[in-house]
Amino acid sequence: MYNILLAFVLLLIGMYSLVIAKNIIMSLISFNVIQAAVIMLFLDITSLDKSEVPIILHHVHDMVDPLPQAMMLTTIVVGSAITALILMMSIKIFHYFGTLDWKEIIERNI
Amino acid sequence: MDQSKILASMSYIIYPFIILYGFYVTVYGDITSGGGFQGGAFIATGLLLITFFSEVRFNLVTLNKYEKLLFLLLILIAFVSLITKGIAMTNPLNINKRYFLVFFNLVLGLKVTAGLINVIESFFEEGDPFV
Amino acid sequence: MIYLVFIPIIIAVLVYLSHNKFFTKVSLSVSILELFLIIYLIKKTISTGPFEVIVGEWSPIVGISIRLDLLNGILLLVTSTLFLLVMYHSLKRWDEDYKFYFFLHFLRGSVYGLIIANDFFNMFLFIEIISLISAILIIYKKDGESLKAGIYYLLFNSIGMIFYLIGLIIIYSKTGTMAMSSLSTLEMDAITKVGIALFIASAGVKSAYFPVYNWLPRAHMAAPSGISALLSGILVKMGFISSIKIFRLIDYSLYSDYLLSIGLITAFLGLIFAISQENLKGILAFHTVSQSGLILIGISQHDIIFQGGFLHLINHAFFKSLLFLSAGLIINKYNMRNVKELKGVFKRLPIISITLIIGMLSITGAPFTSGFISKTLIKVGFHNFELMQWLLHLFNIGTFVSFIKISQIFFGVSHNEKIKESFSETIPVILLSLILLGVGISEYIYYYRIIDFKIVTSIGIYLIYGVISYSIYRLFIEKDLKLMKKLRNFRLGFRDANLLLISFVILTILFI
Repeated sequence: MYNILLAFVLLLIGMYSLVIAKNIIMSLISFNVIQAAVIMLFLDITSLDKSEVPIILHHVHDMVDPLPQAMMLTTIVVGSAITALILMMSIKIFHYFGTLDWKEIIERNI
Repeated sequence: MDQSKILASMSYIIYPFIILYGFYVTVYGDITSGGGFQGGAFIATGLLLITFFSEVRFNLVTLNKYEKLLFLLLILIAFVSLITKGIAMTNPLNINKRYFLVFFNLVLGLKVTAGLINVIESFFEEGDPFV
Repeated sequence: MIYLVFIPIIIAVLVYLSHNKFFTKVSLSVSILELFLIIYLIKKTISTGPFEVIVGEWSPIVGISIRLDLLNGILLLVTSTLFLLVMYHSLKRWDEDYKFYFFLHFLRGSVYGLIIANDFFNMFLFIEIISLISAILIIYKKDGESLKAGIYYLLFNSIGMIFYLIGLIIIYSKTGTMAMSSLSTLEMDAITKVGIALFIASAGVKSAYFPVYNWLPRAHMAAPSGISALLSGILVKMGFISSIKIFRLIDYSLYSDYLLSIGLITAFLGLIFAISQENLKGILAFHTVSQSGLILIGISQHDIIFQGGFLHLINHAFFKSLLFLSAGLIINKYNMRNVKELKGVFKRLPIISITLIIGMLSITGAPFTSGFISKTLIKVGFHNFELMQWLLHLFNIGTFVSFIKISQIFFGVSHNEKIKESFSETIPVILLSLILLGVGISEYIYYYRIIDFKIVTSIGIYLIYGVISYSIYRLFIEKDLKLMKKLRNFRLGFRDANLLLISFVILTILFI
């Protein structure tokens, strides 16, 4: 029960930090926080009152659902690929513009 | 790169254990938690610690080629069952599926290792923009 | 049928491994074979009906499912044609660069995968792969403008897709399976409605609905010319495709009013910004926003308006890519982008000018072209709602004004002697305009007996549009008022765009 509450609090913190982030790296970090919160939410909602590991050699009843776990692995991989690409792009932006501030980059007219 | 002596000496001691644990997580991926991506991340960490204490650097062009070849191998193995059974992506030859899964996990782990070493090493080679 | 996704990916990796120019050209001819494969699959669908396959013969609850029916088949055909023409168009400029073709083939495989997917999680995966690879293609030239556009595009779309994931959590916790056919047996209480509202909101980020369209003009202006054509033609429609797949299974009369109003505001705002721009690609890019609003008006209703909306989706793919490819050729030769400075295009490059005029006639809805048919279908469907018909006339006039603004590049004299055209680089544009005319005539033959088109009245209305818009242009637009300058330099920062995104999601949840 408390896990779901923690996931919601993390989601709200991430969304608030997206709106007031001044730096590109700060927006990227808040994106990662939101993604971690959503993954935790998924895993907690589908496995609230079961407790065993889903391996058939050891236990056969009261298993946790294994399907969301495979999907969340894929989501983590996609998220890490996006993070790596944005970091590389921000290095190149720093070489060109000299600053990493959203206000100066977007609202300048070059 | 400016590095501390503590980091260099600890990496010298601990990197073989990290690589060994990475192989364990990869190969037993079907019966405990883990598998391709997690094991690959472990092995990549273990191999990258080498660059902290010695002058060995990886050749990124050969790693790139190696990764693409492993990816092709993975897809072609999945389509072998199109010839033997007529349906794609099932078990060809109807053997015990643990052999199949161990082989897949190993190939996937090596591919992820090559990819992650490539990404992080090219970040180091890009240089330090704050100098 | 899963090999339809994997053949382009294998070709992509093979092109990357062999650093060979000849092999790159050979790989284009393999994609022509794929076109024949798609035509064979469509014939099979017409004769036996839609068929669903589960990959690897697992049970339907846990397996990845793929579905092919007539709607998907038409979209596959359109996608494959456009990819082929864009790859042929960029053969001259990016010839020695095998990495560019690696990304293009991979993108093609992912788009095929999205169109035939029948599973919530498969759609999420393929949409993320498409966002990643098109972001790499946008920043391919690596100058300052492209980097700004690319990072805004990637970060914004990724945040939009996280809301899709939250919707997926809600639907999964109710049904216990990821297959899409479980939606038809679900009862609509409050929590399910929140889940479906989140799906629609995340489709809005991909397809440029009203508050969240800001990534589109930057990205389409800064990309290379072939990639701009692909982005405007196909990748904007990905949100609509996923919305149509969800709408087919539930009763969507609850959402019709809300989506209709959002479509109206989007179409209106897109036109106002398009008229004030001076960059040639900027006018076309804002125009995509406006047409996408019109498609939304079409798709959110039932029966004949839905058919009009879907037809406009296909037609818009063809003529927007034609316009972007011709504009890209003109800009490459002149090295200038400003509409006021380009002069004398008709004398120096006659073939490209004729294809540009054919595209402009289609997009404003001249009779007998394809744009006319889809717009008339939408107009006829609203026959007991007078206000909508007047508003649709107004949008047509706005479209006409922005294209008169472009057509001033045809007149005048240019002083640069070295600009001429060679025939081989205009072949893709000529083929595309012929396909466009063919599509128009075949749609007219199909709908001829169902709808009364009133040809003579329409030609008269079209000429009245021309007169009104020319007078509006001479009176207001040519003088370049201060309002136009302010609209041209209006840029929305990233933080304000995120605020608009969060409020759009909350608004969608409240109104549905």
